[in-house]
Amino acid sequence: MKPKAVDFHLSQIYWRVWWRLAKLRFTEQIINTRFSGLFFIVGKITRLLFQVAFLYLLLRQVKLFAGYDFYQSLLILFLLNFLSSLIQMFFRGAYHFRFNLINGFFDFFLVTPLDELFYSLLSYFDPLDALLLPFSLGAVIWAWCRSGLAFNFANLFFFLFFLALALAFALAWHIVALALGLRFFVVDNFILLYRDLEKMVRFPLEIYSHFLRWLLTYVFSVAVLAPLPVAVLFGKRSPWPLLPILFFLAVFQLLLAWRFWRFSLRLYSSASS
Amino acid sequence: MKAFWFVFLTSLQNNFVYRANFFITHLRRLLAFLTPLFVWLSVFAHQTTVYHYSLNQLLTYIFGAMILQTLIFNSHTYELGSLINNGDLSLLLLKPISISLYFLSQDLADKALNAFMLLLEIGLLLLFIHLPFHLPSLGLVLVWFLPLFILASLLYFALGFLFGLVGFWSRDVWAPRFLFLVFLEFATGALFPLDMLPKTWQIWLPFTPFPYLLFYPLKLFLGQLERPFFYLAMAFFWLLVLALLDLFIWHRGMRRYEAEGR
Repeated sequence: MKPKAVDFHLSQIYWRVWWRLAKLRFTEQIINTRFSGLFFIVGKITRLLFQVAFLYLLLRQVKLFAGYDFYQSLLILFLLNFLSSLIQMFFRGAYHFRFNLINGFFDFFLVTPLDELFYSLLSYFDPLDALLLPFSLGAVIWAWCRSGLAFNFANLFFFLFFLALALAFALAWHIVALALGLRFFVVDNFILLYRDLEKMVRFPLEIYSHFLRWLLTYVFSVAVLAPLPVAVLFGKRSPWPLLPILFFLAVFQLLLAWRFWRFSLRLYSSASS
Repeated sequence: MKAFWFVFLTSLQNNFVYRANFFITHLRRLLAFLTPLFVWLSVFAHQTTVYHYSLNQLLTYIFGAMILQTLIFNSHTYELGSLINNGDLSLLLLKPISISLYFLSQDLADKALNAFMLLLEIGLLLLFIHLPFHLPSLGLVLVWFLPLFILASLLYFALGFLFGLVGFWSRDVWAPRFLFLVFLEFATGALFPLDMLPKTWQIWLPFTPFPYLLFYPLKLFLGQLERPFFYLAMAFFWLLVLALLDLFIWHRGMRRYEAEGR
């Protein structure tokens, strides 16, 4: 029976292991794959710039895009980019999980004293996304200022609350991806499905039909990443009762994902070892 | 030819090894249709033309771009770099088959399966969403569009092969390809029609290979391309240039190849 990360001492151990692994990944990136890292960073920035160009071309033709001006639309795009980098930075391990399963490396996680989910999900910190984070955050702050949104306590509270919710929903989704991987080896495509849903919310939610908006908010919950917080911040949508509903939904999805992971783990046969 | 037929069949069967993966891949493609559709519908909600495009022309363009991306932008040449890096290329070199035809057979299998699945996906989509599309004459499709489509597929293959050859000189094969794919999405017109860009950008476009992959085939489909023979000739010219470049770099690379890892 593995120990559970509930007491302070154990949490410290998890933190120390994560920090050590993150430093190792950073060193590995700098020593082994410097140039590929540079290509990836340039690629990600270029991709974002092309999306900005697309928005610019759109908003040259229409003054408002689904009720949002250029800088408000940019804020949605930049916020999504920032959160997407943050999620990938922490949960990059999910992208390597299929490889670990097929090669039998996952069995090594099972025999370590720490939780196998911790190793599967968090042990592969992505330094490239970490390097991109200041740039992404700077873009968010720039768009925030240009869109005329005030930096007051209420706005910052809503922003941070949505950020925490977005991370919770993303965590649930990634746990489900790993659990599905244990059973059907579909981790990569399931994560890519999540990334496709993320792409859907780089634009205001108002462009979609009611049914799609409902799906993106309450079923897949990717709307929490960018369009919903921006709609709330600009007063286009009331935070009540949206925030409490989303909070309970996040807790429910996390619990469900955790149960599904434990269930899949019980059926894992270690066939690749 | 029999060997390539078996490569084709094996590649086709490989797609069904992980059936859940196969199902999610096609579900993802359905999702990919939705965002551009709703973006443009939202833009056209208050006006009848955008950058000289009517709604049905633009919808035809974006749906066409999605379909062509599925059929053209897939190639097994992305495996070439890792085959070189882990020495597995030797296994192919020992066999009495051409490497490029081997990859081409695999690509054909994927394209055939994708074309079949696209028919189902588009049929399913059109069941729920009724949209106006621009349909050209059959003559235009057979005489001009089909040859340009085949040339575009071969152009993508040649470009993919070129990026695979990076493996002879570097272990970082995926990163340059990632940058290339990001650039490709923009430069081929997959993100939006390239004639929405400022005029100065448009002057240089015909002199690069990228618009021949998506933009010009789609403009031809829309009946908006004058002198189609010029674009067909230019696509052929670029294919020739890239094929010769591939051949040259392949020979240079083979001199360096040490089957490291085998």
